[in-house]
Amino acid sequence: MPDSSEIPSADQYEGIPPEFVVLAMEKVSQRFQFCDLNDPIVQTIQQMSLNREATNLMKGESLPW
Amino acid sequence: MVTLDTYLSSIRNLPSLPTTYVELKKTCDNPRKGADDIASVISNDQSLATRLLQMANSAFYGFPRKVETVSDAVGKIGITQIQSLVLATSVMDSFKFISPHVLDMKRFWKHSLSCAVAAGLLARKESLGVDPETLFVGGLLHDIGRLVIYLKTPAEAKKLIEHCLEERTLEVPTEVKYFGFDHAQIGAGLIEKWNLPRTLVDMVRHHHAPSHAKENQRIVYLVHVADFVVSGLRMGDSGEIFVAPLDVTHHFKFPLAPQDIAQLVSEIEVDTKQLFDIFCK
Repeated sequence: MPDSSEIPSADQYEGIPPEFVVLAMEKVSQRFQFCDLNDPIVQTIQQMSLNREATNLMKGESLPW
Repeated sequence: MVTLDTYLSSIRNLPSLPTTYVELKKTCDNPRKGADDIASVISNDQSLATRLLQMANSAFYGFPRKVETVSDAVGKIGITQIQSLVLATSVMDSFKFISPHVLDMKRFWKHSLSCAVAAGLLARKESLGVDPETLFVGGLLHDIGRLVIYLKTPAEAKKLIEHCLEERTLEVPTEVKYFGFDHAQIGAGLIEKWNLPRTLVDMVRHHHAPSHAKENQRIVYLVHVADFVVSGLRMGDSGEIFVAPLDVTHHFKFPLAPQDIAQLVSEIEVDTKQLFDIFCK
C-alpha cells in the first residue's frame, strides 16, 4: 500500500465529514498503488482524485458523472 | 501460443473498417474529387452527417458562426481532420453491439472520449506538426483492444478483471498471461489490419509505455498522459481497476506544470460532456 502521508489528513477537508475522506483515501490509495507517488504530477492527480472521490461519496455518488 | 494475427483472424464477428470511412478515404485520396464530393459521401450517412455538424458547432471547435452544412464543416474543419472524425465515429458504431452485461459501453466511451479530448487539448498546447484531431482519434481508440477482448472472449475478460482485483495486479501483464498479448497490442493489430496510419498504430500500441515507441514518441506520450489524467480522475471507465503508472522516463517532459492541471481537467470535462451527447446518445 502507498504511503498515505502523501495526501493531507482527513481533518483538512473543510465541509466534508472525515468518514467520507477516510473512505475516499482508502479507495484512492488502492487505485494509485502502482504509481510512483514521489512524482509531483502523480501526487497532483492523486490529490485531485481524492477531492473528487470524497465529494462524490458525500453526495452519495460512488462514481463521477 | 497463437500469433496476434491468428488471434484477430479467429474472431468471427470482428468489425471491418466501416464502409463510409473507406468510401470517404477513397474520395479524399482522389485528386479529381473536391470538398463537395467529400460532403456528399458524408451526407449519405445521415446520422454521421448530423454528428459532424453537431461537432463542428461544439465548444471543441468554437467557430464564431454556426456551421450550417456538411460542405461548410468540411471547409472549416479540413479534409484530413474530417477523415479522422469520421473514422472515430464509425469505429464507435462498429462496437456498439457489445452486450451491456459484459461492459458498460457508455462509461467505456466516456473514458475514451475524455482521453480523446485531453489528448487534443494537449496537442494544441504544443507544436507537434500533427493535427489535434490525430491525437483526438488516438485518444478515442487507444483502448479499442479491450473491446476486441470483450468481443472475442467476454467470459475470460470478466475472469481477468476478477483475477486482477483478487491478486492486486495490473491488467496489462495479466492480459499477456491470459491471451499472449495485451489490449494495446491487440488494438494496434486491428488498426494495422485496417491499414490505418502508422501514427495511430503507435498511439494505440504504446499508450501504456510511450518510451517503447520508436517513432512518434511525443505524440504517443501525450496520449499516455491524457489516459493517465482521465484514468486517475475516473472520468468514465476503461475497465482498468488500478491506475496504470505514468511513464516517468527522464527524457519525457510533462506537458503541463502541476498548477495547470486543474485548468486542463475543467476543459476536459466541459468539452467531453458536450461531445458525449453528440457521440454516445
